[in-house]
Amino acid sequence: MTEMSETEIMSASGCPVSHTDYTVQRPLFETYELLNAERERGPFLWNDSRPRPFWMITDYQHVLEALQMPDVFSNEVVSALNPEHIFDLLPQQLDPPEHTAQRRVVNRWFAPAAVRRLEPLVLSRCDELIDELRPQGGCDLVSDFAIRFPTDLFLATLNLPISDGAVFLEHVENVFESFAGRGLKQAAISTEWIRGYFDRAIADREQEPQDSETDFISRLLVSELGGEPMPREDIISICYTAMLAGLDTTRSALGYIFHHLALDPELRHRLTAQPELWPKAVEEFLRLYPLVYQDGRLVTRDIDFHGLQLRRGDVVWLGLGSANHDPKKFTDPRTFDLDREQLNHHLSFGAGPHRCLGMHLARHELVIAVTEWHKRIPDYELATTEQLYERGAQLSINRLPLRWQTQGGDTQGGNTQYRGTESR
Amino acid sequence: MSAKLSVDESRCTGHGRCYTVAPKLLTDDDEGFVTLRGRG
Repeated sequence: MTEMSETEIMSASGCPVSHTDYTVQRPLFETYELLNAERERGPFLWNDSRPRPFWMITDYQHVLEALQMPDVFSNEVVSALNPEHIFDLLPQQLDPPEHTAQRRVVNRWFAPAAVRRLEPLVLSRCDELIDELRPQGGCDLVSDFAIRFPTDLFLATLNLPISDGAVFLEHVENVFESFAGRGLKQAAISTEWIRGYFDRAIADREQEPQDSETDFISRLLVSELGGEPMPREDIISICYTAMLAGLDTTRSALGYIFHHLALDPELRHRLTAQPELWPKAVEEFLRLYPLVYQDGRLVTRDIDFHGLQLRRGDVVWLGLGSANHDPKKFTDPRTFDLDREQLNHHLSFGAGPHRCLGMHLARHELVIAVTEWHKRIPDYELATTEQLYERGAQLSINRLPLRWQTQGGDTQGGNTQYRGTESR
Repeated sequence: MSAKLSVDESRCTGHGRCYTVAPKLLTDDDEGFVTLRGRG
């Protein structure tokens, strides 16, 4: 890797220096190669690739410990790559006790019981999409399935019309593009559009009140924090955050999972024959393919963290991705192993007070998607030999053309143009 | 000898780790917080 020099150290700390810019698009899986190489250089590195340099924490145990120390590692910064807030993320950017109070209000909508209630809808939407794709003999899994599925479910969870999905998605994509620091102007415009969309949803409910037991936004409208109603801007930010967190990650997870399964027919056949193994398989896929591979934090006070001298105001990178592949925690970490011990100890959902709010929903969506898909389309293959790429900053496979036999016996290549939004 | 399990409900933050790992002992309420099975 030309981006790293083994000899460079930051003289004051003795830490190796990393110049790796994690915001750029790379060939598929290169990010994991880089993350693993950096962890092998040491538990702590100094990364100077961004305007505001940061400490990288790479070992599983250190990352887990830091995630559980919110008094030292504050969520005033949530991404080491973009430490300045482009937009408000709630309750993510709060620290306890404010975070705890707001999180208690929103937990209910993403609790296991709520996810179970959503199951009929998840199943029917999933089956509709697959039945639409199956006769085609091929698709781009990313744009034709992996993003449409969570977008519709997100809207349904918030009791918003699924028919808004297509136009919604265009703006969401613009925001995701800005994660890598590009297209900031367009992302700002789209953020305004999305916030305006939620603002109108709030206004609708103010005019025509809905049941706060079943309607998410209505529940936020009647919630009180410290005796005060929740500010309207905060309600909008909560909806916006749930959307950003829920759509891209689910799409991306499906991309990596289907890529793996397309190339491993033996595993695919085993799971198709024993569908009760899918929940465990999804958990192991989550460990193997972390998408949010870093959590940023802001250091609140000077502290010696296992020999690393941190100063108040420093930005740290908590390496969720390198932790998931840390051989000190997981044996043979780069291998998919359904029988591995402590398979669910991965940090793909983070840990500590900010552990992913949507994790129950995410797992459920993923398990249903792979289960239903393989009932209907058990055999398929990659329909391209071209290099595939992953977006930097927060991983997402750019496209995944698949093909399969239809009843007529024909196979077709995945589409060559992006048609996720137009075809809806 | 028997082990005793109790839950300090005021401290639960609803992450759902415990009732996922020990579904025979613990379950979740409607809000996602933990409750002991076989109680009330």
